[in-house]
Amino acid sequence: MTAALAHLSVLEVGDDSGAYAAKLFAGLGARVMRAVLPPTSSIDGLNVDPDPVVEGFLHRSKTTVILPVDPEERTKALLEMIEVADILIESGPPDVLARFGIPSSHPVLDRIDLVRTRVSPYGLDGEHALDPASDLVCSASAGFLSLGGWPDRAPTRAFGDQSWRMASLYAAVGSMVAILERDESGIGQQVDVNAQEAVSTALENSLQYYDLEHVERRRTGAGYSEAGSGVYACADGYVYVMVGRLSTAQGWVNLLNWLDEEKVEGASELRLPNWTDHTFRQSDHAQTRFREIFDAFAKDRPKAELYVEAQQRNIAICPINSPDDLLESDQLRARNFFVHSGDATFVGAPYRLSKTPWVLEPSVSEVQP
Amino acid sequence: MTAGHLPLSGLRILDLTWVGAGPITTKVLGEYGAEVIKVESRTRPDPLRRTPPFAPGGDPLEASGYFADRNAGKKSVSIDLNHPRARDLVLRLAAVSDVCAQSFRPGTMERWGLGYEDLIVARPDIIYLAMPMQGETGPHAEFSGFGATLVALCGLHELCGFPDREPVGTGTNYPDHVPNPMHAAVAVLAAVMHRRRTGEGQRIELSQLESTLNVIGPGIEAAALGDSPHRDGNRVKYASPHGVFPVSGDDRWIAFGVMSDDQWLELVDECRIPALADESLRTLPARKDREDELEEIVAAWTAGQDGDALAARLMRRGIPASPVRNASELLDPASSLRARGAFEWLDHPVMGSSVYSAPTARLSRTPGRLSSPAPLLGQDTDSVLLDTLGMDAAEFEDLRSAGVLD
Repeated sequence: MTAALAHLSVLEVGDDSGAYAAKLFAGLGARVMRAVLPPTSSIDGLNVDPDPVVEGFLHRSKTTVILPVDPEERTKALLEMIEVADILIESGPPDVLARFGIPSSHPVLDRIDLVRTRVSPYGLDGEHALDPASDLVCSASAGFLSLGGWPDRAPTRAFGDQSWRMASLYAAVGSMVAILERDESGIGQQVDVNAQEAVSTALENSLQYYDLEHVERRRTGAGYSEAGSGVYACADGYVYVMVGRLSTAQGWVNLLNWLDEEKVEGASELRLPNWTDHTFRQSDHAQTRFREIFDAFAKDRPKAELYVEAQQRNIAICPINSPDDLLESDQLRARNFFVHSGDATFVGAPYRLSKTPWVLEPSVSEVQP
Repeated sequence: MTAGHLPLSGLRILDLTWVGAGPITTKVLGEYGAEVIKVESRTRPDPLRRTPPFAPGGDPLEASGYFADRNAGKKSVSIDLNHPRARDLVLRLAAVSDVCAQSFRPGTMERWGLGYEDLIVARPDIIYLAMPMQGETGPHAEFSGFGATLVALCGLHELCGFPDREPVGTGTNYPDHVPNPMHAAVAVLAAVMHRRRTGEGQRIELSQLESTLNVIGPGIEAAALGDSPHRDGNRVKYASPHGVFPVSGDDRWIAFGVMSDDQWLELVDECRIPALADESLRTLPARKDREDELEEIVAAWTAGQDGDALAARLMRRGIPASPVRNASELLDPASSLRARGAFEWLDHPVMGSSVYSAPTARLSRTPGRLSSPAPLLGQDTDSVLLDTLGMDAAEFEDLRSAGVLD
């Protein structure tokens, strides 16, 4: 089998905001070179998580080229790599390449078949282009942060630098579209990805709510504003339950039947006529009472067990998994999702292509130019 | 190149996806020129058509802004997939399509006789994208679920929130909106690239769980090393203070992070709070050790200040900062995203003018575009069947009267 992108060379320069795009290309078989400064040098304004686990994940299967200390030698080495790249991914401030020693006017960037993908926090020009940025700040400026967290506390970020992942995903899509176009025309082009804009596509229906109904969506906590919907404790953590307004009425009935079978104290109360009224279920009393009854039922049952049995009963109860739960998941194990290399365990492919499978190598290689 | 030619012009997608991730995948491919034929029916419409927010008045199936944003630029064909004669019709559409995308529970397409093995008989080089929640195999493959359950399953819910409370999640069905549709688009584009070079189609399976695990990959791999991450509010290992702090106004906040020791000195100089001038706080480890105390002091300092003015002052000192924006601010005519063209207002025949997210990756020579607002249900049934398939009028009327074209 041949990898889908085995014919492409990619050069990555910059920070974590474009790194995941290059990783996806590596997984599809492209030769990915990542140019980095020597340890004695640094550039301001790059967002790089120094955690070796993050670095190992983002740069697996890439060849990392440590650039020379001498500025002239560094520029020469970088130019040589750009000359042979199909896709150049620049990530960080819009002048990141200049900070590495290649001015934006350099003729190497005018090569007719170069796809030049530029991932920046706030775009390539405009009054905010050079503003300092971070994952958290992009999330705030794009509105994503306003939707996460508890109403009585500060908005809360999504785990794992998601602003940079979103920017990378759009960069990957844009770069591949540009390569497909180049296959026909022979001409490359610039792909401009603004991380703030990328994040603004994750606002669900917030923009439309304001546009159509002048309703400003805000953070709502874990989502339970009704008995039977939301996060509930169980023996080994939490489960997400959705048998309220947003689920089927049958799910509620199925849950009551299950509680009856298990002879849960107080469960018969949930069959009183007022519990069929959604307004009643939204009352503080109903929410508190349901929680007491469900907690008594779930306190000795682990989340994985609740999940499997709830599925058999057609009830929407789902485990709130931790990373450790996922590593032990029967489903992921049955599908051989995780990749094992020696003592290490790596996350597997984001998708499975039958003819051009994921080819990520477990190691990161380092070379001098 | 002819005027209006886009990179994916000539690529036809038979779109059987619905709700979140699948329709966004096909919308993005359509932005760059693919022709997307969305199949649904009045008896089984895309559930998002019934999901708020709504434009006032009109047919309730044609007024959802949520549906509209995810389905711009598509054609709509109305076929009742449960009708016994639907199979033949869908196979004929597949025969003239390059890609077939679906996001049903595993086995659904097969029960209709429309699985991959059926489709490749009609179109041997078809690219087939399946987007099941947990994959097409494994003990949980056929488990039901939806966006919120995926956030819980994948670990994101557990990892978001404050350590002193139960997990809170992301506040949205985040995997549906970016990670899964964009991974799916990458996979389809890779398959298109491969087919153009070899003539060979293929099957793509995107487990939405496995796809999402990739965007929190380091957390999973850290756990495998015995260092499982835990939810920690807005804190990160690489910066301190790093958080969201109150400013003046009703529920108004500023986000900022001190990313280096130099930035810390700038913050100390800016706020001029004696307690922060303590020299022992000049290193990241020291600040991490006293993070509770630091955040309390910083929050007292930011409270009552104007968020925009404070963010501007911090950024002048090189510290990344922004007020926490909301939808109304993004849509305000003065917003930088609006000035960039991140949003477009399209005129829909029922909804009138409403907002859509514009193509996000900006290609300099062949920029993407939203070619039309979301389609009315079945608005293109006639043209697709009569023109694209070349069906004769008698057969078309027969299918309509038989209830296939619901």
